[in-house]
Amino acid sequence: MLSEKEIAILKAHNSGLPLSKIAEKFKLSNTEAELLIETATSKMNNLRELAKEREIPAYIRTVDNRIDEPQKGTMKVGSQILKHLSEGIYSSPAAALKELISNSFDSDAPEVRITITDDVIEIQDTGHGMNWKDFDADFTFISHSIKRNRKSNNTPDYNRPIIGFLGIGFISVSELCDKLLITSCRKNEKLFFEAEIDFSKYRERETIEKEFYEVSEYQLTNYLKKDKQIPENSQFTKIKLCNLRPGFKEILNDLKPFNDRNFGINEILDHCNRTGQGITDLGKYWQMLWELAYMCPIKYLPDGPISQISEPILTNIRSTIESFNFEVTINEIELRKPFKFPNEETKYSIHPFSETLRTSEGPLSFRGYLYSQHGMISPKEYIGSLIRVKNVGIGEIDRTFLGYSSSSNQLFRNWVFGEIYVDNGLEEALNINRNRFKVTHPAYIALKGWLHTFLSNVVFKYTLYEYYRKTRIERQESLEEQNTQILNEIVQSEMGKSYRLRFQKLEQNQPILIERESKTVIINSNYTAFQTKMQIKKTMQRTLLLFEIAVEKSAGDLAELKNIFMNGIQKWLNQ
Amino acid sequence: MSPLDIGSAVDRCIRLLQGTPILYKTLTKPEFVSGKLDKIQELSELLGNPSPPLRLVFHQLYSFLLEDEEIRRIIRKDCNRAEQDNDFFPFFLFFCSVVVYVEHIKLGKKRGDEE
Repeated sequence: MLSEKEIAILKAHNSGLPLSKIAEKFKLSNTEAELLIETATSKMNNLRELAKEREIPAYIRTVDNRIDEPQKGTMKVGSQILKHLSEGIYSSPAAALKELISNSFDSDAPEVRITITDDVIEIQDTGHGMNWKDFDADFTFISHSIKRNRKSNNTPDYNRPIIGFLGIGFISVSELCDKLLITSCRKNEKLFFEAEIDFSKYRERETIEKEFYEVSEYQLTNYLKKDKQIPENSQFTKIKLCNLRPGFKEILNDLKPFNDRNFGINEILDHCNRTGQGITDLGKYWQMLWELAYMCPIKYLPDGPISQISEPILTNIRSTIESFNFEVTINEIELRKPFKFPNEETKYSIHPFSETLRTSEGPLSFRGYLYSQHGMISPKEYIGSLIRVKNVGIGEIDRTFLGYSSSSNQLFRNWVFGEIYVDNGLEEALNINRNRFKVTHPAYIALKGWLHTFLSNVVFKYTLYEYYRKTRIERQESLEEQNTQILNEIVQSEMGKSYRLRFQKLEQNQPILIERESKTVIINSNYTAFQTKMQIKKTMQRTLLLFEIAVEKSAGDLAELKNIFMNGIQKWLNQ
Repeated sequence: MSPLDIGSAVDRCIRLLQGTPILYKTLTKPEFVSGKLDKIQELSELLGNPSPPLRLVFHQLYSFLLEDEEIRRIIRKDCNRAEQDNDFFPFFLFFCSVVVYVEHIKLGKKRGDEE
């Protein structure tokens, strides 16, 4: 690297300035100047490589500078790019852990038990498990999942739609730890195996021109079940994440505001409701837990997602999930989908849907609900829509509702949350990390268009009328009623209990009319000054009523009139 | 550095720069920016490529910042011992180089707009 001084000296030297002048200019001796020029020249020669235009290596180059001759080339992906792709495809630790839970779901495990300590994460399930052959076929070459080679798209025991399709679930955790231990066996087989995968060795290694990119090394040992006192009919998979990476450890230890990990989703939500904090105000560990809870194909909280609403589509979704019989516990606390609305006293409603759209890539079927309430959804992280493909949440709860026009319904969009369960047609639109969509895929575009229309024509129309306009009308009516009651009280208190108040359209331009004979006080609802906003109307009506009463009672005595009127004002105007 | 580490390193750089306005101010001072970029221009002319590739620009900017007494003094004094963190410090300096370069682009654009 060249210093600023070295550049200046080189420039002087190249311009033909003699050595003595250079030495003088830079306040150096001749020898020092000569030495500096020599060092700088050598450094500059080293820099020449950086300054050059890149030369394309022969194994990449497919076209050359021939003129007037069409040439065909191929586009390639360097193995270093694959390294980055395989290491950095998951947006968060929860998204990576979700992949392991999805593996347990696909293996028909009724229960996944996750134990998290400061240094180790253990994930254990009692699903169908693997033997060494399965491991070799499914996890040593990451490109496809053998799960998809089965005849059915659903699991044999609980009829769960199979989630995995690329076999990348396993390498997802290479972002979280350096070492992975797997122990697994199948039912009624004599052997079980233990494998140790080392991700660290390949992190720094450069690989060029390889057909496959190597992501890790592993060592596998088979054992006889009977030697380790494991019953032959048992099946399980145990995964241990060791040597956790520093960034991930930091997340696991950020437990604020709770001091330990013995809290569940219910407690997190209670805390947020009580304190008004959002999920992102909590420690990173709780954010991870929450993210995991909304993404996994697990049951809803009791009463969730919307309490006291028995809507067939919602009941159907809930019972489908329950039929999967899938339970995930973290440190012995069951994880549930963290949705329970409403969480405060407010008007709310549900807008269910079940649709099949035709797209150029085939049919797209989905169902679900959008929940709306009168007021901002809280915690604020719930505002938006969540798409589920094969019951697994894709990405985050999308505050933009798949890019709904940001200038429309800015207020009401904060009052809406929803889940879209896609049964069929959107899987091809998923990116490799199953965490985002290919935004140009026809199925995604169709879903986006449908959602925006549904929001505009159904949800926002409902919120506008039911929560906004209707509430305003109701408030107006109630104020009107209150005002009439006070006017009645004024009449009865100032004129006597036998007097009655009546609203009537009068011809003459007189706001108030007191009829002694019929003991009636008439308020002219036609009077111009009463055709105004409630606050002004209220003051006008009371003031003019008190004035008429004062005129009536003072019988021409001006001092008395003033006295009665002022007393009336003082007594009634602020009520 | 894995993507997770880069994410947290970038966060840390942003926090450091936000917490040290004097450093940000120095890095984005027009005289400072044009001084450094002019020197790089001179160097690229010496090397025979008047439009230097970005990797040369960042390479040189990094070394200029590394030897700049004023910058080192501010980092030593105000940046929460960032200089002693061998893993993080080079990344932070690189981040500062990016800040200087971005400022250079902005200044160029501003000049262009004025003209």
